[in-house]
Amino acid sequence: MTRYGMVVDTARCIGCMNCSVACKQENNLPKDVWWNRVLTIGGEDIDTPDGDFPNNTLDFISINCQHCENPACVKVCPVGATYKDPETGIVRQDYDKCIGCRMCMAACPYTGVRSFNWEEPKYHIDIATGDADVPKHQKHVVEKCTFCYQRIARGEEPACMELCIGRARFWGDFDDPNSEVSKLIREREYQQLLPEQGTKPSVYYLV
Amino acid sequence: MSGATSPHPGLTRRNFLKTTGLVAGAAVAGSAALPTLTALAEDTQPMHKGDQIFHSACVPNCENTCRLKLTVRDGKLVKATAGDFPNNEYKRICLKGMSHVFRTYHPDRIKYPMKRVGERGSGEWERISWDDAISEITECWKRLHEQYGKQSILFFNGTGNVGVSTCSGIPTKFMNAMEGSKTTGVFDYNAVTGFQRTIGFAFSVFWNQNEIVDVKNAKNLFIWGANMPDSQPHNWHFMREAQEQGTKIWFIDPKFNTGASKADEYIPVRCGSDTAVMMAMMRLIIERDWIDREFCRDHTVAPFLVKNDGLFLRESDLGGAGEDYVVVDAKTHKEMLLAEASDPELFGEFDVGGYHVKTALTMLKEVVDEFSPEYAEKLSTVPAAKIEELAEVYALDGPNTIFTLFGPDRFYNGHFFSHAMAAMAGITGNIGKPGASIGEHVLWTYLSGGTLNTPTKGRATAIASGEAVDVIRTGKYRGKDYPIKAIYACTSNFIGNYSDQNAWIDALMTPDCIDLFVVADFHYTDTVRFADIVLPPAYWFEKEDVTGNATHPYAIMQEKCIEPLFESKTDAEIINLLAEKMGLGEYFQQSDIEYTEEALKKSKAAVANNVTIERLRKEGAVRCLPGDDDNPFIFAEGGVFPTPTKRLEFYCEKPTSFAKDPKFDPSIEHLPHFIPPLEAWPENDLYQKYPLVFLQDHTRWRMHTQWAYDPVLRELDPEPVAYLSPQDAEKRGIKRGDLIRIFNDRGQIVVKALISKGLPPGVVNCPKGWQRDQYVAPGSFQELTQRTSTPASDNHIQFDVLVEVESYKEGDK
Repeated sequence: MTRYGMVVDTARCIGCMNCSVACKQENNLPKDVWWNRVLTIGGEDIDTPDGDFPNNTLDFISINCQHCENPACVKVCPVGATYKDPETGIVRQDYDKCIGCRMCMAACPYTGVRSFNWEEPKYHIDIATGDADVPKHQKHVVEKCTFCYQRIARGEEPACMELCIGRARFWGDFDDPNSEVSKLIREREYQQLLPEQGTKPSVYYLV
Repeated sequence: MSGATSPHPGLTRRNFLKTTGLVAGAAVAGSAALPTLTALAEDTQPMHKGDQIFHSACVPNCENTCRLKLTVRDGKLVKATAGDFPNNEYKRICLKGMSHVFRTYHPDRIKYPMKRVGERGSGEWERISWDDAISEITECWKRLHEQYGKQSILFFNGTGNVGVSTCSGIPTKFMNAMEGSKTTGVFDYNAVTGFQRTIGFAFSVFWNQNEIVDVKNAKNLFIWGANMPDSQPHNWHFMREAQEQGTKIWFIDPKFNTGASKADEYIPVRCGSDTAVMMAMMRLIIERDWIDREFCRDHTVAPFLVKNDGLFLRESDLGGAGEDYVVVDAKTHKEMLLAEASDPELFGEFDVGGYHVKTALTMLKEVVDEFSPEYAEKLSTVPAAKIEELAEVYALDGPNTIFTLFGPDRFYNGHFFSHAMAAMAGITGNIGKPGASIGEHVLWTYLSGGTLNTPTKGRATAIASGEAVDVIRTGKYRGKDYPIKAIYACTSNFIGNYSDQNAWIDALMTPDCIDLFVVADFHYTDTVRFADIVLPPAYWFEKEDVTGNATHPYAIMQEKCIEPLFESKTDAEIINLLAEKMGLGEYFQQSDIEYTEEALKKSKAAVANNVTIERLRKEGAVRCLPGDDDNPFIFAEGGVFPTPTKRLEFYCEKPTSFAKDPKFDPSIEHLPHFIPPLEAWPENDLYQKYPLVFLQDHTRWRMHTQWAYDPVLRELDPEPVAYLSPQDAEKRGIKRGDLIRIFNDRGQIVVKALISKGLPPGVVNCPKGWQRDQYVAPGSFQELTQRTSTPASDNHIQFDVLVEVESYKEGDK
């Protein structure tokens, strides 16, 4: 089996949001929709540190769908629109089946990784950006990170992996013990988001 | 669904289901992952049949100049990602690069030639034809030539597009042929001046470092005055990878920012005081004999003897025929020629042939002696013990690299920062070898057309950028009549970038001051808004060119990906039209790429590195730097410097002023000094009225003012803000999110206040680049900056600024 996932080296991450913009472009995300966000761990606003000058601390964490092994969203979807792809371990959505009930949003412990299109999606320009195979964004549908499924299908990495300027993102199969990501989490100390929720995310953060 | 006509092509709902079903079905059947995914890939592959891939470069002069892989679908640019390099350590793209589709198709892009119909600056325009625009411009220019002389047309050719043909290319050729006026350097030239006069320049004034891949060989890396993760994220991974291999990163900066958070050690320093720290470090290094004697002797001017007139003692001074330098032999205590001396004195004061002389190193010792670590602590806030530690580590625990950008450069004393850095590298031998270098690395205007830019005997006349607005307002330059009656700007938003914006606006709004103001640009920038006629240039991917201005060692082919949108024309086409009407048509017949092809044949750098159009077309990116991908370039390798003496000249024999400023005093410029910033210094009386230093971060959201209107980046960075320290905010009753007015005698800006615990009291940080129409009240960060420039460099000193901050209520002035 394959369990695709990613490792983010927070020591390398500089919080630049390349991953967010790479995702936005690749997936032709509508206005105000972001599948991948970078949060500042520090002060109240982005790029601001905590602590008293000059003894400050500042870190960043990029957050997208965690593609959990035990996804809370899948359990609550009443119509089977959200499902775990047995082939890849990716938590996928079938926009066609989605009835817009937003149960998945309520069940997911990771705030902000999903968004709901209350209206017909709007765009800044008349050009659809990114990959030709990206599914059309729809009104009354919940959407989130797909791990760039269209790219993985072609044997490519998700856009945010390829375009990380800090070389902080790693992609691979956690079921393969020889993959780079498996090695990284064997050799380096890591954290996961909200492990107590029992969701078993497929995203690991090296510290 | 082909996606040909839909703005949102791709899989339809049904298609999507079909492909997902395929995967699920295959998995149930127990197939291995790979074949199934291949099948899916085959299924989706035809969706890309129409896609074409091109390669070009991102050329805003952020200095990183990424190679871009551009996807075109149905004749439209749909994606910009990172293009390959021969050495993919240099492969990268930033979030600005990934926004090009939005920039290209921005609804507010200037589509047609436009003429002002309201009063200047009113923003009221009407569309005109190219013929009418060119006729109106050239008729006015001809009239001005007769009435006021050819210098009366001032040209701005900025760095908004660092393709060979547009940056110091065809526009430069045109202003020369027109015998118009231009302005000198403007930015970053403090850094340049200090390095150029000491370590020389090999091929680019901005490249004085080892190739960045070499940084891993440094034992210690001092990042000084550069928040690289934010302003140059492209190169941060080299630093981090070095750190992972054991290089210690010391980060010296007034603010605790992302760079500080990633460093092994952060050392806060008072704004504009950095040079004082280096002076104290040098005092300790000399006092404690931590100098690299061998390097001083063989590769610096340390043993050279300086006469009272400031010049080096030469053979000819002693009646000899030659010009070799004279030194004093350490054993015999007699003078001898440098070429014959094996062990010259490094220190000492001597009488030689009737001249009273001192060694250059003694002179350096004398100027640094004033800077005890305790005194430097008082100036800089860096504890004396920390200065001692820095000096010891830098001198004894090498090889060491210092990386800087343009923070200290933006102060009046900025050229002494790079001068002092070079001196310190020289006396400790931390230069000219792997892991040891200073400064930064940009191939700026490296591939220049040279003689191609002077097709006639005519030359443009340079006026100092800091004085230009006064020339316009008074019609005089340094006491002589110098009328300027028209301005032509291309690849330049100078109103948004030059200091003291209100002076410029005043000049443009004064009746009968400027008769015609023409700007070629694709967005309504601060400059365009005051124009009389606006011309729409083609965007970077709508023409063919080459760029070689970069922090990597490659020239890049810029393929034409799409046709010029709307009625836009390439910069070459625009200038060719103007030249034709001005009677200069015979010299202006080439397209951008034809010009560049010829320029490369005339460029020494291109010839030396075999950079040709043929190779660029075939290989995409061609190395144009000495060394190769396995042997990175080492600046002044082996201690041989591109200076008159071939040595590191921490004592500069003949200092010059970049803009021949009458205020320039060469006698204080031979050696590094610490002088306080002109304005932003506690001892300045103005400090009582305006107690906050006004820094303007160069963030990843913009390149100077470029990308100001990018809709995607504005979602992430939506409004102008300024960061205050918690103490300064509290003192003024300002809370996070309040609107504040930042002001001084020159102008104002109204922004949202944010609080940063990473700022010391007394500093307000206001990220730069917003345009006037993006603020909630009239103003601009450039209203606050001062136009006095450093006499040595004519550098704008935009951080050397004091302001006060107060709460602002809507409806206030």
